[in-house]
Amino acid sequence: MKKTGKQLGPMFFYLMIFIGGQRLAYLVLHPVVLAYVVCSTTIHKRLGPYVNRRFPHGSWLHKRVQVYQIIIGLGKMLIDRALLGIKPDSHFEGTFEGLDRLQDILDSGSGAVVVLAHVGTWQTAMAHLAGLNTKIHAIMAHNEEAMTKHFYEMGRSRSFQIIDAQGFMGGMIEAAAILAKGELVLIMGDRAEGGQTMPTQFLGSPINLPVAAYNLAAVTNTPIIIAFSVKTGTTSHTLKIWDIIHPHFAGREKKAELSRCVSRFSKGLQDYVEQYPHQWGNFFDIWQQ
Amino acid sequence: MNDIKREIKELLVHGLRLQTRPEDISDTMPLFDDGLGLDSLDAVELVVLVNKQFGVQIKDMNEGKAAFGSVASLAAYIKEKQGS
Repeated sequence: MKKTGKQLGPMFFYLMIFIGGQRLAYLVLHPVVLAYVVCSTTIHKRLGPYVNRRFPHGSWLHKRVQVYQIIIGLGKMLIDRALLGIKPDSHFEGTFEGLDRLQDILDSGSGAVVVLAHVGTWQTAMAHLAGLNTKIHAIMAHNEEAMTKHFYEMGRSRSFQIIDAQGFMGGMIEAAAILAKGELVLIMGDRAEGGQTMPTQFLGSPINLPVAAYNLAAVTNTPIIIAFSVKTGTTSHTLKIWDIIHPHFAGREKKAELSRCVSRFSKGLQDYVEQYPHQWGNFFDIWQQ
Repeated sequence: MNDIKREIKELLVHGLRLQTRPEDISDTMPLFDDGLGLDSLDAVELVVLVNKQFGVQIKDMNEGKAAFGSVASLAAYIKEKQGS
């Protein structure tokens, strides 16, 4: 029954898009999400770790409203994604804040490690990078790969190659060779997929964040570009460069430098969720990783 | 072969900034954990350094495990790859 529901849900929205386009699908989304937020306990368990930290002083009702808004945001992104599949000629405006800074790095002959997070339109963010005059490679776990593959099969030609995060040394060796050629490597910085982590603070609580990206950048002498995507309007989104770090191991001690990097990432992500609290896309308790 | 081993020891000490001397590393000492004390973060750096210094790329887990056993096994791996 649950499986049938999961299959029927997207089909229903595809039908709405087909009949009335994005506007009708957005309109129908509200009562569907309201029913879901009122009836489902799962969604509150999944988003609770984030909502309770992001809105610590909110009442029970206030937190329910935040969950509703997050799911509405996510639903709109999924509708946009489906719209691109059903009507590939749909107009979406994508901008890239800080493109010139990244282009300068690439023009100097260096590669770069772009660290993203599961926020905003993170899948479309990858498409923003397609305009750069270099090859792009994304280190991904199977679940992210499947999601992204689905998105690109829906109508967008994939502009990047995937490196398997479950491969040899988490794909880091392949990534190091790519960086040496002056190309881009994308890594999600908010989920630990079995590699080493380092503790830091996020929204007032301790959290362990993966360090592989910063280690890779330090050993290959390439910069870290922290970038997050934002849905800015009904048909617009942007990718913003939040921070640029140049990790460097001066001596045998690596922990201090890696700790500095995860803290900068965490600070950037915290700034992001303060500005865009409802563009959270992590349905997983990242404080427990 | 001894030249490669010496080069590897120097690479380990200088490249990975170890607080030891090349001559203090024995040929059979394990590189990771209780031996020389390298960890998974060092492994990535070591693969990059071996590629730069010897032009040899370690591409998969099986090759990596065998090559990174000790200085002697890494030297044998490099010699085999350079000869092939």
